[in-house]
Amino acid sequence: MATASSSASSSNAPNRVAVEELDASTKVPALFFIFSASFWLVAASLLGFIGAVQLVQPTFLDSSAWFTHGRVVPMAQNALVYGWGFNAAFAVLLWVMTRLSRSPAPAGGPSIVGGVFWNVGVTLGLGGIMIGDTTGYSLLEMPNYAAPLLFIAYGIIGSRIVVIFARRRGEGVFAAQWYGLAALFWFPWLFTIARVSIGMDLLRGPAQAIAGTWYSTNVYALFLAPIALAALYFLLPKRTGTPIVGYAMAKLGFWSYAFFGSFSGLATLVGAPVPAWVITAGVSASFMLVIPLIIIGMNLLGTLFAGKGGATAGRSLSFLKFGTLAFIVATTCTILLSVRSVANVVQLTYVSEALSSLKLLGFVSMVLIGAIYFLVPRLTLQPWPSSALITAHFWASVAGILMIVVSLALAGFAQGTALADVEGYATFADVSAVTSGYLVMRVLGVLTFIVGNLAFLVHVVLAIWTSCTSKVSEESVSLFPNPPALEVSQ
Amino acid sequence: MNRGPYIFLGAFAVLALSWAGSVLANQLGFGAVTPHYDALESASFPSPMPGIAKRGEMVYKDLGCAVCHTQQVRRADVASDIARGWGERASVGRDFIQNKSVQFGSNHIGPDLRNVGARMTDPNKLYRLLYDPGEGVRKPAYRFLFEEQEIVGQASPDALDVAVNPGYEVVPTERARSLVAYLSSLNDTYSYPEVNFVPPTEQDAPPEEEGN
Repeated sequence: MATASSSASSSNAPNRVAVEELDASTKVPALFFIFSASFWLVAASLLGFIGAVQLVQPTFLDSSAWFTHGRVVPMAQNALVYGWGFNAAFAVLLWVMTRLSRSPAPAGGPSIVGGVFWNVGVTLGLGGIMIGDTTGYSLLEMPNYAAPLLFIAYGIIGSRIVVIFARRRGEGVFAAQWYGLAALFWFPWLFTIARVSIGMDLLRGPAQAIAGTWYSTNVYALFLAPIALAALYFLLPKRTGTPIVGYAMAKLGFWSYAFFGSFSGLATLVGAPVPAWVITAGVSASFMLVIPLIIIGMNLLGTLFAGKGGATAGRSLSFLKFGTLAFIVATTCTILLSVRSVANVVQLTYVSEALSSLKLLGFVSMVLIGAIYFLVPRLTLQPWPSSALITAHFWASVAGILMIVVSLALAGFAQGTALADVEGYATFADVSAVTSGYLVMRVLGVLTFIVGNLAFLVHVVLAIWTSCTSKVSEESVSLFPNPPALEVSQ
Repeated sequence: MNRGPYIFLGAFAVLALSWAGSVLANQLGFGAVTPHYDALESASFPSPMPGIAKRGEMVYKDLGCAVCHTQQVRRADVASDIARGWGERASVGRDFIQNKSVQFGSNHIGPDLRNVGARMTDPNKLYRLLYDPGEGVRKPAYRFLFEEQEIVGQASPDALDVAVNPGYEVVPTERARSLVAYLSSLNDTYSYPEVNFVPPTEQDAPPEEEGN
């Protein structure tokens, strides 16, 4: 590479491999994961659309068992989490880990084989749900025969990323690497424990439901959220030109998030026939999330506010900003909704779906999309074909996600209040009638979200196509300056 | 925190604690819960489910009924479940120990079904609700659980009372029969000793399920 990276001038220059070389080593597998992810995002939102329409018009597609509401909803969730979320997480983590470890990724072949296995596993799993081979537990619905494939695929992809970390150069291990590395190990442990104990019927009675809740809440808390946080800790300094504010506290934020986050999901069982201490543990852990919330919030928001902007600002920063705010709002809501007087009203209503949409779409997805917008040009060394498409995607996502979250939250509060008022809303039909207007708004939100996702898919395909068909010029390399690594505040 | 192994060990410790506290402790707790033998009735509760209801439980699971329906009656002081007639008492852990797949559900899109067998004693009403919920009920139909067949000789005793082409009748499939048998079996009316247990305070309640 003729254009010396500006990062070569930073303090640990002797150990550094040119940033362009690092990016190039991840190019093929990362683009493969990004393409798969954007495809699954469209598929998941289309399935989500069917599910949303069915709540407004229950007879929609009800003639076939394959598309009955009870199967479409888990298919949509699994496609979103395992299809979109994991593929995008693989791409972003592969790239972030390569950059921060300053060691080039090993040959991409095995990662792509792993990626193909993963996608086949997800497809098989969704097909299994469609024909009724579900386990019945949230995010574990995929049948047992899909699990080994997913496990092997994850093992291949994950171990390649661990190799990058193990070959790291330089002394520092940065916040983004803690989150990424920990998440990389947490998921296979979680997955194995939950798949074996639930898939093989090892648990008795309500212990099954508790294990199911433990897994589904921790796929977010211990995998998707940490990876999105890793992307934020890495990218916000780059995009704003400021080191992480209050970096010294980040370690406490990380460990307190991991510990309390891993228990906080139990609070969603409030009211269920489980031992009272289970719920108390969940509620206490949720309250304690205030510690990591303050620290991580200070790190990320502080960096955003202190940012010089201008120099490197781009549309990817808008996605990252939205994701940061969504993380703060979602974590605050997790704390507030675990207060028992609030939980008694909103428990078992659409509010929990609103909160999980805010976490999965507003926070995780927006951050991963922002990261993808940042990294693809650095892999292909070509600018995105159309900035208008990015702007369209951004506003469609913001409008769609806000409509989905707000409509579900309002529907949930109306539903919870109506359920509590037995005299005012005597029959169940009276209760479900209060949500119908909001559910229509939710369908519109999903439609808007789909428009944005289609723009994203088209754009990713165009970007990959352009990168395959045109040559990289020397000037285009200089289009993507890589400022010194700013993730550490010394 | 400049060493990978520290992160690895710390992450492992966090997950191990979370697993032991959330899953293992509860499996040990619920694993020890046995059916309650009532000497007056010379019977154990909850009673084992008949085979057809067990198959129905699998149909309930594979159709994803739990996406819209819960199976958990909450205490009268925290929710209106009992006032709505969804049960005579709050559910306790012991109610579920005969279930192969415990489906608490997560949203009251439809009514709670934990005691649907107690309030809908006529199976034909359940068949009817599955085949054609009717106007004003926000519920999909499950016609794929039924067959339309030509009447040969005498009409089937199981035929649904619905309008079809003359000479034809609608009968439930095996899956529909299992599902309805399962729904009819959902009836937690037996009062265990722990049912009337009131925790001393909200925060320090001992495990409700461990009474004998």
